[in-house]
Amino acid sequence: MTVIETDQLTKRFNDVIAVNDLSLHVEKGEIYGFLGLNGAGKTTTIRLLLGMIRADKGSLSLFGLKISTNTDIWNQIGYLVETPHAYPELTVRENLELICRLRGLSDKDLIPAIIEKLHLTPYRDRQARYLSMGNNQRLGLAKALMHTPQLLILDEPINGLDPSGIVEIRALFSELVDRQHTTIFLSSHILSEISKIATRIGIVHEGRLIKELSSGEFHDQILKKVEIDTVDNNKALNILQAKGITALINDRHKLEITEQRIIRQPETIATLLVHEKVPPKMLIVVEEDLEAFFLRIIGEDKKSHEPADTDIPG
Amino acid sequence: MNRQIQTFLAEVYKNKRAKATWISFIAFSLAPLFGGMFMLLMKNKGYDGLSGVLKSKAVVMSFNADWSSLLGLLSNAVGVGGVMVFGFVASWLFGREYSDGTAKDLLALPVSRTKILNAKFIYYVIWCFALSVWNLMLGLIIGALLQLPGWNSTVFFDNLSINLFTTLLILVLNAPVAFFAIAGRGYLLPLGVVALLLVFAQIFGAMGFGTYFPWSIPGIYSGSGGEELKSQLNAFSFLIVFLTGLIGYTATLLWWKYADQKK
Repeated sequence: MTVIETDQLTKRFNDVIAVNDLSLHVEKGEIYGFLGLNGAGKTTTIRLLLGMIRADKGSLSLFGLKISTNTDIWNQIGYLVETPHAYPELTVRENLELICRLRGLSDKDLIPAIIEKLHLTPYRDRQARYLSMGNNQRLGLAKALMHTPQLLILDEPINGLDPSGIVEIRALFSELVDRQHTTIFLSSHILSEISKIATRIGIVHEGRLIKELSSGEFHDQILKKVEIDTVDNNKALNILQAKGITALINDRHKLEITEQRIIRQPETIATLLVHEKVPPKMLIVVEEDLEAFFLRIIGEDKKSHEPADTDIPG
Repeated sequence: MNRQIQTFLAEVYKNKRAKATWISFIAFSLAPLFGGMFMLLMKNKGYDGLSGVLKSKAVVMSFNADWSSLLGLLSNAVGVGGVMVFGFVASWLFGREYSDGTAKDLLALPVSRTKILNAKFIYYVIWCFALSVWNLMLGLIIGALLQLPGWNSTVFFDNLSINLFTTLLILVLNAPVAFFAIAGRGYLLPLGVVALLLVFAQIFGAMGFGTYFPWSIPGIYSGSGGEELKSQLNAFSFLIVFLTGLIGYTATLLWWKYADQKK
């Protein structure tokens, strides 16, 4: 079942095209990571999905329904847009109570349950104005989650959380997908986090979706290399080259091999070097830095959109 | 209807600890307190107890230390001060969602945006009427403590009707302020607009167009410009006020429902 569907969605602010021909399909139970640099169009897309701004072109539907004609649809959706805010003079509990009233929820157990789930119990009677950034983020997530939505649309949900908080939230998202088949659409510029939880990743740049890939494809497309350190790297390099293996000594004075057959079976190199009496002190398969991957994808996209060089007759 | 009531109750809940409530009640307490002081000075020494502008005003308006004058003063306070204080209430009530960053939490809920906006308008009306009633009650207590002469039911009900109708006029007139709060995404723009409108009300009033400038009309109706000016008000004057309010309400609603909400 398609939960989010957009077709050639376009939004322009004066001369700036914030979202450009964006076509997305997010299926039930997916965790869709929406990656992009600041200003790439992530928040604008989320605001479009939530009906906060109107598209200039294209269409969008949630659960197969047009959002402009249906307010009941929001019963199934929880969201967090940009920095979460709460009514500063109300406590954590009161802010949640307010959301309950606005959503027409009458179950009195909802509030204590969500407070506990988001580890806000020590702060439940604290006014929102005195919450730390991390706890404010938790309160924002609590507001998004308290009605057990089928779709969560979250904009930078781990901003402001400490490392243990990030782990907790990651576990919470996994639990929601596993137990309730919740669909999660989350944007972030923190690539490492997205790569850990997303089942599918969309990369947006200058308003366009430039790449969409599954978690498996994402890991396959990350460049890898084998890095080796031996007692004598120059000797090891000569041995490898004599065996027809392309290798070099990198700027960290380590041997570096990028041949795919070696990356797939790095133990063959270890065996060879041990046999040749230059045993490795260290041998690791290094994955391309996620930021580097991201910038490479954006770079490739830029190149593909550059006008072809034309010869100017002399 | 049930959802509208629930949404209104949520609005009440939201504002239960709002400092703006107390600030507005304190501001609206000033008129009866100063009115009482004015009466006390007049009661003891007549016009000689006053000086400067107060004395000139008292002479021009034929004020006396009695119930009629005190109740008239309270209506004047609503007519002039109300534009400012009710404007502050509207600015805060509608602008706070943007200043606090909570507007986005109201935009994708299983309750229509119209109901959310109407809940705010209902709250605004109740709040401002409460301010007027408070102003009147405090005035009555002060008048009773001063043992002012001239109490009778005709004087009371005449002034009560002026007070309430003035309140109604200002309530209606501040609907555009709500629009400026929402379109300006905060309370600074509407507060600036209120200040500007007060200046214009004075200018148009001085130029003799007060009966046709919406924000001058409540003050004139309350009697702050004297009975002669008040008698120049006609049905068209009130129509202008109600049309201004209607335009303000419609513009607020349309903006809230259809404009891009980027904050």
